[in-house]
Amino acid sequence: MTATTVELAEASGEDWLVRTRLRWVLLGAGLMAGALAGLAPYLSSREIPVSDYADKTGIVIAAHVAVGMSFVLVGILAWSLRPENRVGVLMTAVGLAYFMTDLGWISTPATFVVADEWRGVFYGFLFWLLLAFPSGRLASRADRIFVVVFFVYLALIRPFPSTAFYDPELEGPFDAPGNPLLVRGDPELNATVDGWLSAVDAALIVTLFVLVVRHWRRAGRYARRALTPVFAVACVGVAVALVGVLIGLKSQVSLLNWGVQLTLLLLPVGFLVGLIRSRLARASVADLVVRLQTAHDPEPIRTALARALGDPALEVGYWLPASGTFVDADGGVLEVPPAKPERAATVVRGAEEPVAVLIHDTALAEEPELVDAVAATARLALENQRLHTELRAQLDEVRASRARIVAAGDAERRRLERDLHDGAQQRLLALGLALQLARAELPEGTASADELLADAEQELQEALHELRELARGIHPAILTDGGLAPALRTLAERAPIPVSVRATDRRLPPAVETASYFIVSEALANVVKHARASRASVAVTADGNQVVVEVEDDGVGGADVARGSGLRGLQDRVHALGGRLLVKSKPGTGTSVRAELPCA
Amino acid sequence: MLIADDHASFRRLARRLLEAAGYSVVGEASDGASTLAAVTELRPDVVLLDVLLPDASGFAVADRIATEPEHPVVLLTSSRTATDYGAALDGRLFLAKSELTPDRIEAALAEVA
Repeated sequence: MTATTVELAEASGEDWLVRTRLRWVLLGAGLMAGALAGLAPYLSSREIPVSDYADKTGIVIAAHVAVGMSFVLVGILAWSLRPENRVGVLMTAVGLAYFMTDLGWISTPATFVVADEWRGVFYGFLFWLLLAFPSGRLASRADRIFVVVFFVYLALIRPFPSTAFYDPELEGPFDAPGNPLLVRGDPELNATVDGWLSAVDAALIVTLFVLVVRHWRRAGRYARRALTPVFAVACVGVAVALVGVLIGLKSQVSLLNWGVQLTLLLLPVGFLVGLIRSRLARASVADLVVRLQTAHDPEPIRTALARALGDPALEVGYWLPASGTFVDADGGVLEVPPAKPERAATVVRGAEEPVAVLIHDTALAEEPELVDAVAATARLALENQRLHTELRAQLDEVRASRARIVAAGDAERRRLERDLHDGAQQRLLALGLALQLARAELPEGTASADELLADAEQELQEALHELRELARGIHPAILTDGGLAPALRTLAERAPIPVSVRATDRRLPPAVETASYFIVSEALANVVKHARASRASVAVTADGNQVVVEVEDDGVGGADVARGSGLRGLQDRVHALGGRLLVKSKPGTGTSVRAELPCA
Repeated sequence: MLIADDHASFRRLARRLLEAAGYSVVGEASDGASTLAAVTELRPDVVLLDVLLPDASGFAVADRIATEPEHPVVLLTSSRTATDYGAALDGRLFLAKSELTPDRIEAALAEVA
């Protein structure tokens, strides 16, 4: 669970020049060492020893040169491909160290001892390389300690005890120039000390094996793609070396020696294949550039990024400054850093503020260069999409705000109708009853007063009627109590022309019922006022998640939303609910008003 | 007769009107619960029942009364008109409060006599 930020660094031109020159120098040194290793046995005054594991000396020498040169050449190549990665340098160092043993062909005591006793430095660089591949860095403290301890052991501990008791004149090769570090020639003691140190060798190799396995287990998916070919070869090599140490390399086991040589020869190939596989992942960035050219919507962009990063479950969140959150294409807020431990977040930053976040497999944390390259490539598309997302969020907010305003208006209408019903209407009704009682209690011979009271009752009835109509116009009680169908039937019954009603009996959300009612009410009012129709029909159907309201008449047509404030008001109400209003009204063909309302 | 309405002024004036017309008003109730209790206790012949009570719909109270053995006649009233209730009034006696006169009450009750 990590959140990282993409920051692109550029290597300076001066660094690049220095590195290039250094590569050429090392290549020259490697070629020279390889040539010397191939020719020295034939040019040296020393006798070429009979090989332990091959009858033909030339083949042995060729295999030896091939192993060293393969490390040097592949190392230089890797360094060129990934200049910022130490893997290439380490491989080159392994190759050059491998040729140290060839110093033995120079017939001086010093070179003989160095070649014989410090040739193990080659293994120091090799093990360092194994633990540092593919990032080039020793990731854990244990790795770093191991490499330091191993180099100290190879440089200071491993050579001296055995060298002190090793006399070439007693143990051969008998044409050796002599051991300047000899204390006392004692083959038996030398063999004993060598046996102890072989046990230390074995312990160190076992430790290396444990570290390698741990390295593999901790590696992400992408790192494993690079590690697989190397570790496959290395595991075989380590196992072979371990067996070799345990049974003694000096024994005549030609097959085992060939196995070691073959492993060493294949190891650079494994590194090269690993780097190429890593390189292939980086190549997906180029593919991403092409794909982004035609990706203008969130999903194609997400798909293109997911493909480039090799993570089908990739999520893309866009930064909304107003809320300070990352949201997906549907407006859902993304948690950063992600709650799931197997997901990590990489924030893509613009000049001043975040642009987007990529929620990806934590394995990609092992490939920061790939993620950085993908993020940098997609930044423009992501910024563009972020603006779209921000706009969509604002539109959604405006739409929701309109819906809330309409809902609040409807609620206020219901409250007003109820207040009229409970307040003014009740008082007028009580007044009516009081007038009735007053008339009943008038004494005989007061016709004038009776007439006045009758007039007052009549006025009161009209006031009540008007108040009732007003309340009904504000919000029909039957709509709340009985639903849309009875409310529409009541509306139709009060219309001055025949109106057929076909409406669903389903109770719909209040906002939809109210909108549907007022659509029909306004449409029928227009029919009566303008259409000169002989009949009209109302149909309300609820199908799936949509309610369709249709009002048709056989009048003169010619209605226009743009000109009629009533129809425009209906259109606003329908739009506020996320629906649409369609009006067909050609002159002479009647009018059809159709509203489509979403209904969850 | 039992008058069930949440407006005290209406109950008071309706009682006077009904008594002046010769009806015997045995009690008054201001909500659904007290109406049902009064029906059981006072055994009226007719209940003048407001459609909109504070704790219940008059329709629901009328349906509860109808389940009682030897239940009284229920005459629903409202400040709204029959138009505002549509089919909900089917099979029920209804009189708008604005039309509440002894003659109309008599005519309505005559329908079930």
